[in-house]
Amino acid sequence: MNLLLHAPILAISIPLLGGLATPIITKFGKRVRDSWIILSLLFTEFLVLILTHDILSNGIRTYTLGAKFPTDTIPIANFIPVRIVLELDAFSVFMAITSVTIALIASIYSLKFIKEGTAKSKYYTLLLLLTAAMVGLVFTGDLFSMFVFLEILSISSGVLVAFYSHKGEALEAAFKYIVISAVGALMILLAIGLLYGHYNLLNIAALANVLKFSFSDKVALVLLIAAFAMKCGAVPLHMWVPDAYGEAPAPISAVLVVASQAGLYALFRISFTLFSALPTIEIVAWSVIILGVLSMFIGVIMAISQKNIKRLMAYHAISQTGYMLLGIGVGLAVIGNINALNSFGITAMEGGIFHIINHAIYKGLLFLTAGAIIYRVGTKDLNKMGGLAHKMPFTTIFFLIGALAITGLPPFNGFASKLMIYESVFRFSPLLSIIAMMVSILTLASFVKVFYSAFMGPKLKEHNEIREVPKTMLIAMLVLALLTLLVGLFPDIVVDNIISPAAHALVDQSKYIGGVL
Amino acid sequence: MMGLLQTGTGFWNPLVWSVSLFIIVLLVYFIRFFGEKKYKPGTEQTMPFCSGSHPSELPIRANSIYWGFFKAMDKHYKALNRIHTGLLDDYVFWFIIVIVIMLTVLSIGGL
Repeated sequence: MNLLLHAPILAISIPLLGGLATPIITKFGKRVRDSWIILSLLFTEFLVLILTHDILSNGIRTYTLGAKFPTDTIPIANFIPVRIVLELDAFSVFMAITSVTIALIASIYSLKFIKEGTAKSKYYTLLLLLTAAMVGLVFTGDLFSMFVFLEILSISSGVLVAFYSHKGEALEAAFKYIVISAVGALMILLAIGLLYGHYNLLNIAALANVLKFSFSDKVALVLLIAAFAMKCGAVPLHMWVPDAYGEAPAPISAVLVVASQAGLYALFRISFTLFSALPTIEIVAWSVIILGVLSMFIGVIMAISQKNIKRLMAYHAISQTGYMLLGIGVGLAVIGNINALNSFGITAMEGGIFHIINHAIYKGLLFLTAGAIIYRVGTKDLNKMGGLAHKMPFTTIFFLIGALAITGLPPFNGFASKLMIYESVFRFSPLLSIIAMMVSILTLASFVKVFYSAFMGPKLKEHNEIREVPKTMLIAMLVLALLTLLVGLFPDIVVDNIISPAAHALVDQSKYIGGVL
Repeated sequence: MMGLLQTGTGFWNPLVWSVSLFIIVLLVYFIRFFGEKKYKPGTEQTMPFCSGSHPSELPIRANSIYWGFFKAMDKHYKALNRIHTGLLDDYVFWFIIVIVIMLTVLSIGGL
């Protein structure tokens, strides 16, 4: 079997089948189950990496399900792609690397974090299903499959949010998350119905080729943007985020960050690949920018006042999503102006896309450090913490690295992507750039508060028994801390090799269409 | 050059920055040797300063950090908290509001 040829579908089916087989594998013992989970995710990561290498070298790769040859996108008897087609470009594989890496690290962290006898096998089944859904969502080339993968993502992550089902808050958060996700999914289905009714097509590339931008198309666009903006947690559609991230187990909060970014991917794929030729695309771009600015500002203002460490971090996740929306929104706003696009638009997009992976890394790290604190101290309340640096020195260092990265201090990864956003957005609108910088200052203030109240100060009597977390949890945090530092020290390698191709793939609508037609 | 990131209008080299920081830290450490050495360890001279609080009042809890900021921003926070009701109805309400605003703007803009 040609592994590379079938890698796109294998990258979805390995975690999917791996997850479904987990309850059976558990019968052979806990160690076998744990190895099974890690190996499934390692193999998925390997598949995504070989796909990335291939796509960066040879361009877009397609995979048609049910075709005699997977690369035949259009059946001989038809003139349109009627089967499910996976279409992978540099942006898709970039998102897949981000998702699978965080899922892998979260699963290593969970080995000790999730205690045995608490439905651990089901936890892993859902985590693998969630990974399959994220990979499927970013690999698919048609709208209906996108909807299906989004549904798998919402349901699996919704159940994981309710993992601590003995707590009323977790059940309430999961209920809210599933209901709001269902409302969003309904809007997406309605939009897909509008487009299908008009063009008889579901394939994104084929649709992009024939779209007439009628009123019903605009309605579909608005429904899709609103639903995916809700999924990525943009203000004012963000209210489920602190509930869900706050109540989910800490490693799941880290995975939820990348799951939300899959929604961000869908938002950008729809805006750029389907609708970038819309005459009023500037209005859509400004909508994305305004959602970004609101997310940045309101996210950080709400975060700074939080007393619950995980809700605080959840509000920061909203705030950081704002940077991505701002950077890529500016790219969308100047997509019709080739001079502006080349001059600063592409850099703004690169900054936004770079921030996606940076945020996944440092916010993943921060959620894991929060998990480590909760694991040992048993509370999320910052008022009940203090002096933990004496007892948990490694966790303290990891938290500090994550906190410095999110606040955009050099030489960590957050600084590099934020600098790209500040400088390029300044040429589009200085005010937006100034707001972005101000938000970074408030982010710093917020994390100084967490660092001071949780880790600084004298040893507390009630924390006498506290010690550092188990090794597997430390290893997972160490990997993310090293990535935070290495990406920060060598940003050019990441930007040149995966970020820049991803930004160019997003802009180049004709190549995406040409991949299928 | 290794580590050089083009930012559109300028560039950023974290390696140069890190080496510079290391040199500055060394310099600061060197200058520190010229400092006053007559302090008495274990007395108030070496006690941590924490906004005038006595060390026995430590740790300062999260509730007390930035209290002045929150007091000054109280009105704004009340307004923001009014939006964050935690009610699912309101989540859906905002969803509909965004759809209506975007549709209206896009329809008017397309005329």
